[in-house]
Amino acid sequence: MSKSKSIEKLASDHSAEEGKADVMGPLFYIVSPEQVESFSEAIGSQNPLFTAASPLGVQFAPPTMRLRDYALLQRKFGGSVPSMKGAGIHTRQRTEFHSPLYVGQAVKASGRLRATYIEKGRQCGDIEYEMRDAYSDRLLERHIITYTWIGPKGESK
Amino acid sequence: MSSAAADLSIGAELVSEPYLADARAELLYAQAAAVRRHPPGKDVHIEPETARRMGFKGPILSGPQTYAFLARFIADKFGVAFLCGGALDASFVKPVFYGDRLTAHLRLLRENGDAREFEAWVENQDGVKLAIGKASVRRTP
Repeated sequence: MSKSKSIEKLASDHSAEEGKADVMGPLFYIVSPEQVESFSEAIGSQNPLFTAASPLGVQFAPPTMRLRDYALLQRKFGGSVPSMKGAGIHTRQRTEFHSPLYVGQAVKASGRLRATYIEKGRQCGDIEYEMRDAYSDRLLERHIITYTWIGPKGESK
Repeated sequence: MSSAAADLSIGAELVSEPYLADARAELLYAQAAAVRRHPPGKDVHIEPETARRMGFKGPILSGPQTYAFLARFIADKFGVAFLCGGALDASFVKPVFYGDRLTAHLRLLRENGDAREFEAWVENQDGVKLAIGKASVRRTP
């Protein structure tokens, strides 16, 4: 069975989790060497750990390369973040790095809206999400992102 | 882990090479991170008029891009001691504008068991802190 087909089966096996309250995901993907290399270039990294010639024999992904998974989760699963006009501005990011993603690894990402609240007159929200090895379920990264909304004319929402 | 990072004493500071935040850097990051663009008229990261309308003097880099730069610096200094068991918590306190020359900073606060805890921040060419927070790495890789 090809690895991509295995990923498809994993996705279908987890389809029952979709639609649960507050749960976004899971979504599945395989870490590609192309993304590792382009992301390394984008952040100015020359770290050998993120190259095909990694001294540890494994090409790791730079930390935060998949930080945008929350947006993919929201897009694919809808999420429960209220739809608002204007822009969501990231104000805080917290990450625990448990084990680096590596090229060829199958990853499962899932998340949830953790909280919405008003802070200093602004509408804010926290999204918690994590990546796990799709086969072993080992935790790789856990993130919490905080955003605030600014209206189309710069006003607080 | 670099030898300089291994031999740090409490209060010691590490500083990155500069990273130019400009349209090219934003584009490279957006493509590599698979950023989905906002519709025209709503993208504060690339549209000067949208940015001005929202109260900024010009387009701003996204928080995750600034965060990625800071995380990369820590990974460069500490390698698997950061990637396996490290943490980073950063708040984006001021906008990063095109043309800003960013540097990432770490100052060792304490050593607590197997963890080293740092004050972490990103500042611009004027020494203004744009992102502030804390980071931890393991003492033993």
